[in-house]
Amino acid sequence: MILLIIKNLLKMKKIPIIFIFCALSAISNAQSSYQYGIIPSINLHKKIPGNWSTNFKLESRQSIYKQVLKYDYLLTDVSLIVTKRIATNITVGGGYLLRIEDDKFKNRAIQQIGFSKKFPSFRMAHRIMTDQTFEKNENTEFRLRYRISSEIPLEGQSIDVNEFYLKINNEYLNSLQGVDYDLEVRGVVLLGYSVSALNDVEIGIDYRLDSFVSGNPRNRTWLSINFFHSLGK
Amino acid sequence: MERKSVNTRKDFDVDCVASFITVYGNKKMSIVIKRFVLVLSSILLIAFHGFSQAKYEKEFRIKAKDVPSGALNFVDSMTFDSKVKWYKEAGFNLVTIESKAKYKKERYSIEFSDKGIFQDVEIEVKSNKIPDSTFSKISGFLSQRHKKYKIEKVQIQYAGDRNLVLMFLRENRNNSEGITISYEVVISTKMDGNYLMLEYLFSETGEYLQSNEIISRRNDTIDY
Repeated sequence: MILLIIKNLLKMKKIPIIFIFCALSAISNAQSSYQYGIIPSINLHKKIPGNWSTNFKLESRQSIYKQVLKYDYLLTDVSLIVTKRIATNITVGGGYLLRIEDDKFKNRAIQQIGFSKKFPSFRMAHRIMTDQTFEKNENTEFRLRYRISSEIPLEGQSIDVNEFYLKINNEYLNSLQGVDYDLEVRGVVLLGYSVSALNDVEIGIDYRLDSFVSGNPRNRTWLSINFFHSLGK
Repeated sequence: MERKSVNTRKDFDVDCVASFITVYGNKKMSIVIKRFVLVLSSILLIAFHGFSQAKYEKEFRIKAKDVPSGALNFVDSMTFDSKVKWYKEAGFNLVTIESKAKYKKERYSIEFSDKGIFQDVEIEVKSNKIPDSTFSKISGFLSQRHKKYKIEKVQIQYAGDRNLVLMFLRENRNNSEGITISYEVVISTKMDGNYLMLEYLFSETGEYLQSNEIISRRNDTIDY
């Protein structure tokens, strides 16, 4: 079933996908560095009267391979985003993220606008986000991000309880720190399962490519495991 | 003989949780991982256990060979530009079979009972396909109920005798005798401060018949 879906998706978007893969592989072959690891996350979501929502996220990043096979704990992110629905399909919001690394902390302010639409057999969302990362003795990093996401039910036309779904994300992150500019491209494919009306689990691959604008491309591939829980409907 | 005091006790203080590599090797690291996995597994276990007993409305794809012959014959006698997809919708006490296909860029949805008895045909159209007099009546009704709204989807429903509906759709769309025509209009609006999607059903002449709120799936898996 999953293979059939992927096959159909590839058929639909054959040319752009082949082009993107060729471009990415050409970039990633030029003295690239590779890293593999795992990113588990827990998301707690709560709706608040007056069209408000909050999302608390705890995410940890752990490396398993970086040139050599070696486990390395990298960081933990704790974030809280508050959004307000301003139209049926539009939300605006902001939040704060605390990044805990080996011996330092980073603080990040986040602003975002999201658009989502339900099509007959899938759901699509666009997210435009800006963030500013503050760190001691470092220039503030400014980022402008755009993400397009799709949730495709694998049984029927909507995601019902006890059903699997496919989630595909593509994100572009522009970063400016001092005079250094960088672009990061992310591609995520996840297999999700709706455990109940309030709980979902997802597992899949999160691929990130950066530093290819100037310098040696850095390829990072993470095994992403996400858990979503909504506190009330 | 002078004796030096030798501290045989080794202190392996860890500055922070992130400093995993100690003289004990990866012991500390494995403790942290184990704890994380334990917490994650517990949450997942609770989630699975707490909700797996509940029954929910479900809609899923089925193969044509599993469709009752009455439904299959009806759909086979129509012409479509796309492949026909079959779905089964299992509610709390009702099971229906639905086929979906496209013809001349319009989406068709044909509903049957679980025994294959014809119920209705729904065709998704643009709102300008509704006759002017009916549409102005519908618009008037909606404007009266909602300060601001947007039409998201319009479907024309054809119900009645299966042969008459089949003949109407295949041969003569000007003769709707014996067929019940109604309009399903989905709007997005704001009511009591909340953004909603509502589904309205109007008769052929634009009389209000019924309305339901469309409850959609949570957005947090795609929004954040």
